[in-house]
Amino acid sequence: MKRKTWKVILITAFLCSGHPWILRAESDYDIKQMTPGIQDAFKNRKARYEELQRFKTEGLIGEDREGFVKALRPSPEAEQLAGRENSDRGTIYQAIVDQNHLGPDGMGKVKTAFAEVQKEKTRPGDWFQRPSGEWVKKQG
Amino acid sequence: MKKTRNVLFVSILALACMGGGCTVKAVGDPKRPITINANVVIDIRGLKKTAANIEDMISEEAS
Repeated sequence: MKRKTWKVILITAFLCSGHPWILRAESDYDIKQMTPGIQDAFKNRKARYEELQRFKTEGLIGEDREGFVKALRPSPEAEQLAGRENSDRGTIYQAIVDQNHLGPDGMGKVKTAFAEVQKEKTRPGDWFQRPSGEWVKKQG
Repeated sequence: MKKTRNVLFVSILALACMGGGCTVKAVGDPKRPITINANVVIDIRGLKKTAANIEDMISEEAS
C-alpha cells in the first residue's frame, strides 16, 4: 500500500478514536429531552425572573459561587424565593449532567459554568460570590 | 529524508493517541463482565456556552 494511503488510514483512525482534542472541538451540551419536570423548572424560573431581579437589586439575594442564589439578609420571603429558584436550577443542572453523560465530576463543572455565567450577567449593584468565597457588589 | 518524515509523523500520532483521556481497564476473570473506567473529558467552554444560552433564554422570555 502506498504511503499516502497509510497516512489517510491513520488520520481517519485518529479522528474516529474519540480523542479529547477532537471531542473538545465538537462538545455541545444541551438538554436533549424535555421531561415535564424540566419544563416546569424552566417555566417557574421565567415566571419568577422579575421578582428575583427585584430582590437582587434590594440586596436581599445574591448569586453564589455554585450557580445558586442565596438570601443575604434574614428575610423569610427572600429565603423562600431562593429555595424555590435553587430547586429549579438544580433540576436543570441535573438534566444537563444526566443527558450529556458528564459523569461524577459533571455536577461540579456544570455549577461552576453556571456560576461564571451568572456572575457575568449580574447587573451593577447586585451581589455575587467570588470563587474565594468573598461576597462583592458588582461595580458599574 | 522522506522516511524520517514518515517515522516522525507516525510517532507524533501514536503519542497523541496515547495521551487520550480514555482508559479502558479489564479487571478479574475474563469470563465475567469487565469493568471499564473511562475519564469523561468535559469541555468547560461548551458548558459555559450552554449555560449562557439557557440564562439568556430565561431572561428574554421572562421580559
